[in-house]
Amino acid sequence: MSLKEIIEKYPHPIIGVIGASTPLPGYNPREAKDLGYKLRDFVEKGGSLFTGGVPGVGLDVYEGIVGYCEERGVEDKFFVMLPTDISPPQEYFDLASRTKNGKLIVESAGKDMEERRDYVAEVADSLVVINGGMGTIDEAVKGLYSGKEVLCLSNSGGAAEILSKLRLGEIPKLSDMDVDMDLIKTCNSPDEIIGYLINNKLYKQLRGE
Amino acid sequence: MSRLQDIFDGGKDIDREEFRDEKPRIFYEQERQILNGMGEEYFPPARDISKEKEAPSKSEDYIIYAPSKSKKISKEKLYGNVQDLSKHLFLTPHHEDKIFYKQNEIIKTKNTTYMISLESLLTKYKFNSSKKFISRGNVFMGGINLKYDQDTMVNAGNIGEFVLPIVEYIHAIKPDYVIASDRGARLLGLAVFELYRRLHGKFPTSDGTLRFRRFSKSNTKKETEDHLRSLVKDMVAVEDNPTVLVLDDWVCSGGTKVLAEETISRLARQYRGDKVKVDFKFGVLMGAGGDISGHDSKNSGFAGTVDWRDDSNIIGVKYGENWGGSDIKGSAVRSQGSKKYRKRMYKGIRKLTKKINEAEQEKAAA
Repeated sequence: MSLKEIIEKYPHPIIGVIGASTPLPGYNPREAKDLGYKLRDFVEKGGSLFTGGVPGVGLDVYEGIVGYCEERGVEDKFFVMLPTDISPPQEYFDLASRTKNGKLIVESAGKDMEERRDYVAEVADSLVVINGGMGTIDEAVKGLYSGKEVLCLSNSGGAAEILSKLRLGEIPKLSDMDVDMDLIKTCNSPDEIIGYLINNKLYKQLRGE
Repeated sequence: MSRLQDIFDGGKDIDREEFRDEKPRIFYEQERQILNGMGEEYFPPARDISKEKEAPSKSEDYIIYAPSKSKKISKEKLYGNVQDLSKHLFLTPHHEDKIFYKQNEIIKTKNTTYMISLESLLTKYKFNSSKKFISRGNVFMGGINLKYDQDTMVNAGNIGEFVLPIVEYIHAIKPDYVIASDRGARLLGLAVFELYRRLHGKFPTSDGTLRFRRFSKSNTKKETEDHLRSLVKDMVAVEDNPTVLVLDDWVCSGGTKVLAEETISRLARQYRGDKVKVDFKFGVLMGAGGDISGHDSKNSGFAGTVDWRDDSNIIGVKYGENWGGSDIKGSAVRSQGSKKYRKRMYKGIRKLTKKINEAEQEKAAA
């Protein structure tokens, strides 16, 4: 499916959650699930969520989303993006069966994982980073170059921690990294991420509030 | 001002239709080039709208996506940024010298977003082989994925070519332990071990072995733990934070990965406390053709039609008495089929090694 089709198919804001399939130290799955739950609550008034459809952070976040859906008997407003011919882990399908929609939506994005990362950066209105490895950094940097806001759960380790440190000046800014550092938002908890989304004029506009 | 603010004209109210009807800013071909990394610039400069008006009016000629204020940036610059930031991933207390050294060593050779690319792993091999077999997939922090098309066929004769990237990956990262998931990856593991031995000598694990263990949801948690206990005890006795590569022939659910990670980590903590960190890597075959089943429908035309997925008579090991048995401990199946398969496999690997060595000699002579 083309970028245009994916972008037009889902209600905005489209929030992508990115993180490691094999998380690095510092990662707390409970926090990821909590964030998934709260993000799903956030998009109840409008918006969509997606992950890269791999195990690890993405799956934990989706578990939180499904937890919300089970409690409220609602649809997940969620999709995963994977390259053509690659299927998400079975756990995604099992979780999706517990939601009102009952099915997992898988968007075919690119011919390989690298191409998929291009899609991730372009489709999302903003990216939420939890933990993450090199691939996550790649997605986040692409997002930044595309002018997307990157919300980092700073204490979750990995890429999220590094991007936060970069924003706070604890890691020297790369001389050839020509992006607006203000696009990186450092958040210390899921609540802080949700608080930022709720109170930000931009997302209110996107949801028609 | 962020991109989204830009897109929607600052604080102006959003009109969805206006958004949809916005003039297309990028042609399909350009999008394809960007995504394939073919364009000289990673993101193209903003287009001149007046020229777009002259473009063909057929809607299918256009791909509209969110209007972009993307910055002009070369691929090299983007990858450089990613690499520079990623170096900090390995400077945490959990990833001291050993891992950093390994990754840093790899970084020197890589030329893609990933730690190392399959191509860079295989650059030194100039022998005549189908790229289709050996260059599909990717290498990333979590391990190596090899991806195959539906029409890909693996058999005893060519399995060496399929496992060559895994062999080179092992040679690059030198894991402390390699575990092949039984039964599916039994022959994969044997092929990896044999090809490594022929190309590089002693297997680089701490004890020079490749282990086979069963990871199956059909076994209870306790059965799996008991099955792995002695191996994990050995692991943490030798290395404080061992790097463990798990090989599997077919990943459809990620279940093996999760089971292996959880069980080994839990056991390691039992022996060495909470501070122990097992660094897992996974080497898997995936995709529609990742099933190296050798079913008749996939293997016609190859020298020996084989079927070693779930066939104990070919794999040479079984779990329980019945097909698909769920015992945790395996028993050898010394059938004619398994012996013949192994003979063909080792013969194929010898041929491949010979081909590689000859190519190396030619290169040296030149």
